[in-house]
Amino acid sequence: MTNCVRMITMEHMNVAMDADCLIKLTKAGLKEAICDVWHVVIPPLVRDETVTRGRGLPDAEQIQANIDSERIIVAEGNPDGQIKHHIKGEDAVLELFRGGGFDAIASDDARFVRRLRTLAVPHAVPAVLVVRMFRERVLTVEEALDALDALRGHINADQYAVARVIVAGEEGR
Amino acid sequence: MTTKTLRLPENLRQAVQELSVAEHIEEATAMRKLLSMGYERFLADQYRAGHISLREVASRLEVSLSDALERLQHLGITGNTGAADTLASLESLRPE
Repeated sequence: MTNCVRMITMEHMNVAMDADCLIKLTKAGLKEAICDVWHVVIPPLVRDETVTRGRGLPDAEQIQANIDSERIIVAEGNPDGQIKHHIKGEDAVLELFRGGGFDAIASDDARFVRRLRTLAVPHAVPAVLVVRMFRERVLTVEEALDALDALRGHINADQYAVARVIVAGEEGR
Repeated sequence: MTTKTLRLPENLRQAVQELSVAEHIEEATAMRKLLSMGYERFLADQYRAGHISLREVASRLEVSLSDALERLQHLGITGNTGAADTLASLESLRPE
């Protein structure tokens, strides 16, 4: 099955992403694959954190290129058209999610993830994005394991191990 | 810069001298370097424990998020969301 065919078999998920997750996916070379299958939206503050403040860095340039090509969407205002000035990217991401139309928040920050658990907000750490792509047959088991290996140097070892066990354990189901 | 006076135990005094000789720098510079390295390690431990975010690490080190990530990786810390966070994350998403 080609990537093109696989993509259209997967229901699009709308994801509000924070800077931590976006940078890790970029460094792992997985951002394009994620953006191909999900609508990735970031608030302006996350763009500032990843692009403006990272100016000159390779990952900042890649993220800017994805924004320019609209593979990553920057939500310029809340539903009322107002732009709130947040100090923290997490607050901006949560507000974006609460504006509606999102299936999950993607983050790899422990404190933010625990806050999302408390608030019962659907969320995905980077390795879970890969597991989800595997479960929805966007990635084969080999591709999913390769993707996890690419992420390995950027995520917690336990996160990597759990995701790898899940993918390997579900092979052939 | 501000001036602080502090008492150093003998082993730390020797550590300052060792770094000063090894890198051909003044002892005051060596002391600042060791303090800076110690602070980076402290922030890394705080991040690993989930007490502070990557943004806070970056802000306190006055570097970009990307650079902060690389510094943490250099110290052997590659993220702070563990097994329980991963499983909870998976369960929180709507069924496929």
